Amino acid sequence: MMTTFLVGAGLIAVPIIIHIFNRTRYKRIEWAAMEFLLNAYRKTRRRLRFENLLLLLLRVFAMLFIAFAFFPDGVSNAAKWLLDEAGISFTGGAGATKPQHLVLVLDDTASMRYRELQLTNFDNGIKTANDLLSRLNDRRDRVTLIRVSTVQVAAGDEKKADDETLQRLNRDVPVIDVKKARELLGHALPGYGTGSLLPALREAGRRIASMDDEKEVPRLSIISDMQANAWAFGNPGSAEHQTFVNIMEEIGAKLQKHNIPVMWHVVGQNSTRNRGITGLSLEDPVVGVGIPNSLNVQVGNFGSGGAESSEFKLTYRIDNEEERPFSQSVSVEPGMVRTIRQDIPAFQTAGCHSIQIKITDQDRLEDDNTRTIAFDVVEAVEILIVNGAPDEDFSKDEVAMFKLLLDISSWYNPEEGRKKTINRVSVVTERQLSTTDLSVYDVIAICNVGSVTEEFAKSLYDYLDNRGGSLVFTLGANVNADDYNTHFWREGKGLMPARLDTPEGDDADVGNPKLHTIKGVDLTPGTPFAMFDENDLQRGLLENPTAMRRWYGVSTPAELGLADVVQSRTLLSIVTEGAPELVVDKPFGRGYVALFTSTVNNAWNHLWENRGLSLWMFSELIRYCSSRTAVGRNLMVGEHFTRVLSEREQTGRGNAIENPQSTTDKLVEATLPDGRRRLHYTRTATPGLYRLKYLATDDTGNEIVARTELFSVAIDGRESDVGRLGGTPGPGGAANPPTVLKNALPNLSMVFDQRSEEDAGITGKASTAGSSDIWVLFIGLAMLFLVSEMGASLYFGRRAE
Amino acid sequence: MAQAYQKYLDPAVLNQVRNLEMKARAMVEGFITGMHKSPYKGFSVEFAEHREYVQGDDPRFIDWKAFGKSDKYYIKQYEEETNFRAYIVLDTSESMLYGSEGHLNKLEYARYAAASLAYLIQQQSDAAGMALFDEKLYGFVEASTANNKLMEMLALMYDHPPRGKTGVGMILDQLAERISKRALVIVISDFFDKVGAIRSGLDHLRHRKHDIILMHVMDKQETDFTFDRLTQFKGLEDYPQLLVDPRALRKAYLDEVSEFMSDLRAAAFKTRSDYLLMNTSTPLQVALQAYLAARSGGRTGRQSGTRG
Repeated sequence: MMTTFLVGAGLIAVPIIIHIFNRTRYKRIEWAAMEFLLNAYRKTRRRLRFENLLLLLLRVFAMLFIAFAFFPDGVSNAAKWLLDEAGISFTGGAGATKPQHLVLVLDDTASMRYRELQLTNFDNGIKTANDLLSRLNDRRDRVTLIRVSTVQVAAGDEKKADDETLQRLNRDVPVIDVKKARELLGHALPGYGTGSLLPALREAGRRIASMDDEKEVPRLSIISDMQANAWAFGNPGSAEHQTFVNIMEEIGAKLQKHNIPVMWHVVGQNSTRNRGITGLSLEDPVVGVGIPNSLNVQVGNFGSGGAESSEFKLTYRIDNEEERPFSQSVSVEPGMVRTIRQDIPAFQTAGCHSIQIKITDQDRLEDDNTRTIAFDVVEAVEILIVNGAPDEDFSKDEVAMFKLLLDISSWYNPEEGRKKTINRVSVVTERQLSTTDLSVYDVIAICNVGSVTEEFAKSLYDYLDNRGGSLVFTLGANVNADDYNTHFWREGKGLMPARLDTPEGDDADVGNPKLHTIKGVDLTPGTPFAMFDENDLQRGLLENPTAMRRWYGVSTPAELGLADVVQSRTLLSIVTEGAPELVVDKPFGRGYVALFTSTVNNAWNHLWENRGLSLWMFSELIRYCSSRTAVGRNLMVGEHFTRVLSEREQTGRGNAIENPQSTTDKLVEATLPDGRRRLHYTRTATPGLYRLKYLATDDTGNEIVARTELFSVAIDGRESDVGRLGGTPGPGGAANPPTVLKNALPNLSMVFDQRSEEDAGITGKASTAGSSDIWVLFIGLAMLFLVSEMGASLYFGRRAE
Repeated sequence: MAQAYQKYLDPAVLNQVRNLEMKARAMVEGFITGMHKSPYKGFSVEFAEHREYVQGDDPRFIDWKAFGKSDKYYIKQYEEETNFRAYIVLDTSESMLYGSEGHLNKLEYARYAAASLAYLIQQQSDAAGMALFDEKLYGFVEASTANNKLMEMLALMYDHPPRGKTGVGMILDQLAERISKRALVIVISDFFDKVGAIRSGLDHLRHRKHDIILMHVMDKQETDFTFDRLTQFKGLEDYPQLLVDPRALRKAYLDEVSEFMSDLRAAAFKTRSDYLLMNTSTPLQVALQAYLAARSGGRTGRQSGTRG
């Protein structure tokens, strides 16, 4: 700043120096008629001084405008610096003499990376923020900078970001001075995360409410691209709309005391268009060696700009192999989202693999044109079914149908299109369990097992702690709820995700099935039932809730107030008022536990047959359990990566992560109370493929990579939808963001500032035309002043004659 | 070899003015040989008439030849010649030193004028005297027709260094007291003094029946003020210096000068003095010839002047 000021001051000083220099270059003569000259001077000296000052000012202004033309930022910054040093505030409006406290809400979610021409919306947002800061007094005013995304790319060089930086960014937002805010904005990078603006507005409201009106004047500026997803609460139909209105009205009431409006700075254009990959999963999440598989790629053609081609060019790349085009052409009409299936070759080796999908066409938000999935390829999935009610009659055996579904490869028939599976299913009875080595199994299903012995319970706890596999409970008539609650629930501290209640219902109503819409169920890829009916996820799968509840209801942890103890969640529930959960799960130890509240016997097969469905739901649950490690490898931006290592997995030389920028990061390692090591990695702010390297020492003592594990980080698909709140303005279109907000907040004093690089000529590399116009304007003004100065000189000269 | 001070007798000037007769507008008392005849008869070299001797007449002037012829006492009366006495009063103050580029300074110009007038007067057999002044009066030379007086005047002008402030009014007062007989007083000066004081001095001279010519010597720059760049004016006669853009001051300055000259002319008019503005850019002979021609022809009033 000082340098800029000195340069600016130098420029402005030029005419003054010339003026002074000219005063030193004069003719000297001895003059006789001095009395007349002195009298004339005495009579005219005031006018002369005024004229001299005017000429000097004209010259200074001329230089100032020339300087503005060539160094607009520098001059304005220097001027601001000078005024700040002089203690003069730029901030106008009411209470300008009081300290100003600007609460600045800056949208830094992934959609802000949308590139208009050369600059992103985030770039324009930063420019806007700096403009706002420039109106404040550096010495007097304060700033609260609230960034929307909960996942922020660290300030400065994101490759060198460390945990401390990230923690600093994510902890409570401090009140900072203007210089600090400017410094933070100077380092700020657009994030890849997602988020709603509502929490940020709530925080802004809280900050403004806590301000002392006597001591400082509150101001609120919100800088955002007004992406519809992040501003969903702005729509009157949204569940959170009233909350939003309440927050803003409280803010407005506070600001109104100072006669200050809420400032909305809308960056970017109303017309947007973007193509992006919003989802990527494997058809079969459990990938076996030699088993054919497919990719399910969800692509969207978003935005309101139109004219974006509906044809997509997609490629995929397995590991480091060459890119391959999709086998079919992909066409997605504007405004539509479509899932594309692409068969991939069977993997021939077990281990960690990855597949990267890419849209080869360039568009304005490039970050969602690539998406990567990481997974394990396994030789086989070992499944152990503990049969609590064996029966020689296939239709009466508790697990016969269940085993048939899981072990499908035993009757695999390629001609009928049935799938081959890598599941290797073993069935044991309750009695045989004590002689079975549980550690070889990836999944253990406990089906309608009756009483629970201490030994049985201990073996399951050990299995989860040491093997880290998945445990599935299915219930039935043999189940002793008290035993289960005693050994497995343990008032929330045990392995079971819910406490068993009294069984109820019967099978009587199976003939009159009724469809129920599934709501409140997470059907995003990765959950067990998402693949169940992939063509219509909203289609009901539970025909008779009464039949579903025929055995046990469960009490959820939330009802028990055990949320701090139990991490259970509901995976599937029946959407009838008061109906209980169907599947509840929780992680435990190094493993995972799912509780299916009904049976897996043939009654289910009968239940579904009218719909052409069967017990596939169970197999989906098992498959989900089998692929849990793969699920944990595909994170959203900001999700933390965690691994608990068994004793044998600890290589002794530590671990390291290679991030998508190909630089190496360290993980946070901790020793758990039981002695196992936990790896924790939080810096997943950037999408891409990460490599976790387990380091070891070879025979010669050199460090080697003993094992590599891959995991991927992706942008939330909602960020790809760059459509704005209110949609597209114009004939037939919806209202634009200001219109929506004005309708939602009719009593709020608001000012809208549209910042579009294309529309408003925001300065930057791309806005040459706008910059040039400004250049011409200032040069023109400079010339005008120079001509004025010459004119004034002539006028004064002639007047003297 | 001619003395250095004789340079003021510029042949060019003298040729232009020698044929002109300086005619005083009023008769002066006394008589000496010259072209200005006195209305009074007395005992001079040129016989006028006889008159009978009366008691009290000096017996030395009885014409004894006439007594022998007529036996009456006649006194010889001679026609007394007009006694034209002119005093050239020259300003030698510091302000007279100013001269713009390419022109004589005012003092030099005035010296030429003074010398030319003195010569002219003597050539007419009239008596010329001189006085120099600044704040004081210096080297008063009584009017005389003698040639050596001319040389004395030239030497006086040449030797006297320019100095001091202009004090015209006071000097005129002193001259009025000092010049006992009626005379033509020619004041050559820039008159940079208070017009009121000048007027007082003129009144005093007029009261003593003296005829007055004010020859106002000004430089072209003093009357036109055409400087065109920033100038530091260093005041002569102990005035302070002033750094100023002359273009911006020109109008006000010219107003001041114009007012002064107007007042000076008015003072001359009211005291029935002649006023001649002599601009140093105008050749001296032109200025003098024009004035004297006008004066001899009676075509001019009391005001005259030359502008470059």
